[in-house]
Amino acid sequence: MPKYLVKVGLNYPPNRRAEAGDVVDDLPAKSIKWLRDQNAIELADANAKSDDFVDTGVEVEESAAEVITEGKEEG
Amino acid sequence: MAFIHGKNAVVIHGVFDLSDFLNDASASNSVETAETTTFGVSGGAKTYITGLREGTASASGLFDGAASAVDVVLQGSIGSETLAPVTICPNGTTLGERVQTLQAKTTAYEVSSPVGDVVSVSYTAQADGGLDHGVSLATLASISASTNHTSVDNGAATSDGGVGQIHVTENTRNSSTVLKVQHSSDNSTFADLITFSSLGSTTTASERIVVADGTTVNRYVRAISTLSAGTGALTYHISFSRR
Repeated sequence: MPKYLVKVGLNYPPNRRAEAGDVVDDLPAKSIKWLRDQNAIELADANAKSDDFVDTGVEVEESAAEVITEGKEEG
Repeated sequence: MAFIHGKNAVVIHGVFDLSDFLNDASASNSVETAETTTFGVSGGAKTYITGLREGTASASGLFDGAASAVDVVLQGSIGSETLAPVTICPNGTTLGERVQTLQAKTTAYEVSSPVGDVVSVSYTAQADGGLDHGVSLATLASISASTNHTSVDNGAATSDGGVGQIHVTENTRNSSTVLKVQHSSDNSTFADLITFSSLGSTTTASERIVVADGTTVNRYVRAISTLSAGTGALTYHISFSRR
């Protein structure tokens, strides 16, 4: 079972309580989808995250726009 | 469908259940309309668009001048800058019953003393922020342990926020209490939707919290109370109104 970071306080069976910031791995499977859809939880398990990553084999250069610090330009 | 009698109605004003003094209560919702009629309007009739909502409430009943009775409570509310959450329950506070809630500014309070009849009171209030129609999530009753109240099924989720309101009318707990409204898509796992201000030892309180427009409120809503270790009991009512 993947681990999830709880972003909103949750009560779930059997008589469990998780506060925002907790990482849990025992949420009911049927609740995962709607909790993720509503941003009440997010995946916290590193392995699970890598499973979601798809390597296209294409290297992407960092664009100039991305190295400008917010509020001031490099220069 | 079932019609209901008014004899079970309950009116809670702030931290006071005034039902023992009142014998008539009403809540009114209206909305402004702005005329948009132009030359050559089709159908030969005026047209309008919807404007702002407005709510008012009124109640009347029998005078009682004791402390925490109707005269002290309502007289004290008139002219006050502090808004009082008010809940009117036409068929009582039983979980699932319909309620009307508002944050009230008292606009009139009258005591009438006829020579041939009982002394009576009447009261009117303006809703600050509108009047909402919702459901009772916790029957007004004494609780002495943390409780997950039964959920209320709306049949579908809604997407425009809502209003939660609590009235804690008695509290002999010697520890703190937290009251919440939660919602769920599956009636199994519940997420916090509203967390009311923590109640200190023996503290009574009333509070109204608005869930922002555009917020999804799932199909099932319920109230929960979390009582810290201690002794005593508290009496509260919790409602939620979808928008």
